[in-house]
Amino acid sequence: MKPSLLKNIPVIPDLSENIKKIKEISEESSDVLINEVEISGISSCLFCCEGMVSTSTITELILHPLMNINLPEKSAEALLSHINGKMLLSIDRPIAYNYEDFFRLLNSGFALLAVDGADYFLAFGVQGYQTRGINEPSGENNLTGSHEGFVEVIRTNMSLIRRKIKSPVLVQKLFVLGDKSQTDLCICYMSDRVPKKLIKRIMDSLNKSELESILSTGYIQPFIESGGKRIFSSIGMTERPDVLCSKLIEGRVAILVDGNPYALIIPKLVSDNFQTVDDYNFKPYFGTFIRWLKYAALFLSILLPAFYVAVAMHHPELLNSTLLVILSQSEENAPFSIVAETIGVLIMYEIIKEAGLRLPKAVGGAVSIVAGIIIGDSAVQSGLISTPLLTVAALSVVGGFVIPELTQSITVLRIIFVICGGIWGLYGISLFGAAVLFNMCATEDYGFPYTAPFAPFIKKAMGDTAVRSGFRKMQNNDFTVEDLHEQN
Amino acid sequence: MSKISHSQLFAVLIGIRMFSIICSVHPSDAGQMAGAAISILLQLAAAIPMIALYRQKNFSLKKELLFGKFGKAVYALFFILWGSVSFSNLWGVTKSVYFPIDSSLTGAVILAAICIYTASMGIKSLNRYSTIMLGLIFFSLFIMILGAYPKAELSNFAPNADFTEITESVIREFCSSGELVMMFILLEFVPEKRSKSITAFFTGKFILTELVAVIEITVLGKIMGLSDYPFFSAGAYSQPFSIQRADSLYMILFTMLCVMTVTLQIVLCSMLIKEIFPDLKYNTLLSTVLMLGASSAVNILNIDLTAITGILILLLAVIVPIIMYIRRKLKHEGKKSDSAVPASADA
Repeated sequence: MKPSLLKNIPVIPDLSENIKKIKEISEESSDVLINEVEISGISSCLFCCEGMVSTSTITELILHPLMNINLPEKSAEALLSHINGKMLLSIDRPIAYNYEDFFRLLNSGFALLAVDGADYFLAFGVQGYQTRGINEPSGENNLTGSHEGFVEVIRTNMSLIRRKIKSPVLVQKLFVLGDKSQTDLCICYMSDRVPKKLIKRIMDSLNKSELESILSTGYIQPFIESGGKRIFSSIGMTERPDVLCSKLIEGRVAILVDGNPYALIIPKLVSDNFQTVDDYNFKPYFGTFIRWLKYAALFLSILLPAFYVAVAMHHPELLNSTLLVILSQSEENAPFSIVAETIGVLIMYEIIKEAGLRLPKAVGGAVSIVAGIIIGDSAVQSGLISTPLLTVAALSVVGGFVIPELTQSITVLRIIFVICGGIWGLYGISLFGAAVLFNMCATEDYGFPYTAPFAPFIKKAMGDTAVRSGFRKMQNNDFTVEDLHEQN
Repeated sequence: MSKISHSQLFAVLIGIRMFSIICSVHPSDAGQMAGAAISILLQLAAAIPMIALYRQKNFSLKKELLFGKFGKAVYALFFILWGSVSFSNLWGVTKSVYFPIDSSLTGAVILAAICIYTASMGIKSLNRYSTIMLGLIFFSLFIMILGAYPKAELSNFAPNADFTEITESVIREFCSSGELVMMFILLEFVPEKRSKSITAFFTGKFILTELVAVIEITVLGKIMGLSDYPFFSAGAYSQPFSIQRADSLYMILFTMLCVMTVTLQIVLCSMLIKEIFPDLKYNTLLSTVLMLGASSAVNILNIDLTAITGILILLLAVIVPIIMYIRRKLKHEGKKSDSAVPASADA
C-alpha cells in the first residue's frame, strides 16, 4: 500500500481491529514489535520497531510507570488523559490519528501506545538506534577551526547548529518528504534575515517533488536549483556546522536531510568556493593571499593545459626562445599529437582517481604508487608523454584540489578547453570561455546571481571576497545575501 | 526584458566602445584625438533629448516609438547592419592578426554559433558578463600601459592637425558610435540614475579613446601607417615582460568583447523582430543569419557601410528622440489646455 494512502485510514476505537490492520499493512514484518498488556484493567498494546528504540529507556521510563497506573475509572479516555496530562514519560509526545503518522513515528524510533476504545495512538520518543559519532569532516579539513562535522542523524545535526547559534531567531523546521522513505528534512534559517517569501518559494519547490525516496541531498537538489543547463551548481553543500552557521548568519537558508551528513545551502555564490574556515583564523593579509592563490588555482586548473596546447600548436611566437626550445625538444619524439597526449594524460588521471576512490584504502594506496611512479615515470622515459606536458597536467590537477567544490565543473571544462585550444588556438579558448562565462552569469537561484558580488558588482561584499578584511572592519558591515538580490 | 542597473548599462556601453576602438583601422594622430573629443562632446549633447524623454513621467519607448511596427523594423534593420559591421570587423582582424582558423568565414560562423547560445541566456547574463569584461578591459589597459611606458616616445606626438582632418575625424567617430542607438533602447530597462550612467559612459568613452590613441601614437610613431589595426600593433610593440609576450591577452579581449557586442546586437534585434512578428519563432537564429548574410554581402560587394550607419545613428539616436520629445510635449500641453477649458466653464 502507498504510504500516502495510509493517511486516509483513521485509527478506530477497537484495539484488536487496529492490531489486525497494523499486521496487515506491515505484513507481519519481523521488526514491528507488538506487546499486548493490560494497563489499569484496560486492554492496551505497545508498539515499537526493533533496533530503533532504547530498551533500557523504554523499560525504565515507559513500561514501569505505565504498569503502576491504577485508575478508579476504567475507560480509554480517562487512561490516556491521565498518561498525557499527569505523567511526563517522554519529552517528545506526538499523537497519531492515522496509519501514516503511526508508521512514520514507529519507524522513527517512537514507542506507540494503543488503548482499546481510543481512536488515536500516544507516541513516546525513545529512540535508541546505533549512530556514528561526531567526527572531523573528511572533505573539508582545516587547521585552526572546529573539528566537528555533521553526522547522519538529523536531530544531532540540528543540535550541532543550535549549539553555535543560540538566538531564538534561528528557526529549524522539520518536515517529511519521500513517499516511501518518509525522510525527515529540516529547513534552517534566521527569521530576521530571510524574507518569508523566499522560504515559501523553497518549500513550494520541494513540495513539487514526487520522489518515492530521499536517500541523500542529491535527490532534492534538482528541485530547489533553477532549471536550465547550468555548468556550475548554485546550491552549496557543507559537512561543517561552523560553515553552515556562518552562512545562516549571512541570511542564507539550509536544508538538512536525515541520513546524510551534508547540509544544502541556498543560495551559493561563486565566491563561496574560495572561502574556508581557516581564512578567518589567519591574519587578514595571509587570508587575502590564500584567497588570491585559490583564484589563480582555478584559472590554472581549467586553462593551463588548454593554453599549453594552444601555444604549442598555434602560437609558438608567444613563448620566449628558451621555453620554445625546451618545448620543441620534448615534443619532438612524442608519438602522439599534443591534443591527444594532453587529453590522454587528463583522462588517465581521472581513471586513476576513480580507481583510488572506489577501492579499499589499502589497495587505493597501491593504485597511487602504480599510477604515480610506474605509469608516470615509465611513460615519460619511454617517450610516450613529454615531461613539460606531464608537468602542466600535474599543475592543473593540483590546482583543482585547491577548490574541491568545483571539481565536477573543472574536470569537464578542462578537457573541452584543451580540445578548443587544440583546434582553434586562443580564439577557440576565448570563444568557449565567453560561453562558459555567459553560462555562469546566467546561473541564479531565487534572484541571487551566482556571480555576485563580482557581477553585479557589490562593493560592500568585496571585504570578504576580493580580500579578507579583519573582523574589526567586518563587524560593522552588516552584510546579508539579501544585498545581492537582483530585481527582475 | 529584465531590468538593467545604471552601472551595468555603463559596463555594456564601455565594452561595446572598446570593441570599436580595438577594431579601428584608422591611424591615431592629434587630429583624430581632437576630432574624437569634439565628437564625444557632440554625442553627449545629442543624448540630451534621449535623457529628457526618459525623464518624463510614464514614458515607454515600447509603446510610444514613432511609426509603430515600421519604426521598430528600422531599428531592427540598424542592428542587422551594425551586426554585419561587427562580423566584418572580425573578418578583418582574423585576416590581419594571426588567428588559427581555416578561413575568416569559419571564424565568423563559430562566433555566430556561440553568440546564438549566449543570446539564449538573455540580457541579464549579458549585463553581468559586461561587468566582468569591464574588469578585463581595465586589466588589459593596465598591462598595455605597463608595456608602453618604457617604449613610449613623446616626440612621436605632433600636435599639427588641420580643420578638414578634425572634421573627418568627428564624422568618422560619430559613424562608429552605434552604441548611441543601443543606449536609446536600453535606457527603457534602466529604472534609475539614467543621467549618471550616460554621463559616466561619455566620460569613460572619452578617456578610453584618448588613452588608446596616446598609447598608439607614442609607441608606434611613424610605423602606425603601416599597421592594419593600430591597437594590435601597439600591443605587439609594448611588451611588459621580457620572458612572455602579452599579445594573447589582447586577442582574448578582442574575442570576448566581440561575443558580447554581437550577442547584444542579436538580443536587441530578435527582441524587435518578436515585437513586429509576435508569432515568429527562431528570432535569435534569424537575426544571426541576417547579420552573417549582410556581412558576407558587404565583404563580397566591398560596400562601405560607414555613411549608412552614420545616417541611421543620426536618425535613430538623435532625430527620433527629438521628434518624440516635441510630440509628447505638445500632447501634454494640449491635454493641459483641454483640462483647463471645462474647469473655467464650471466656474
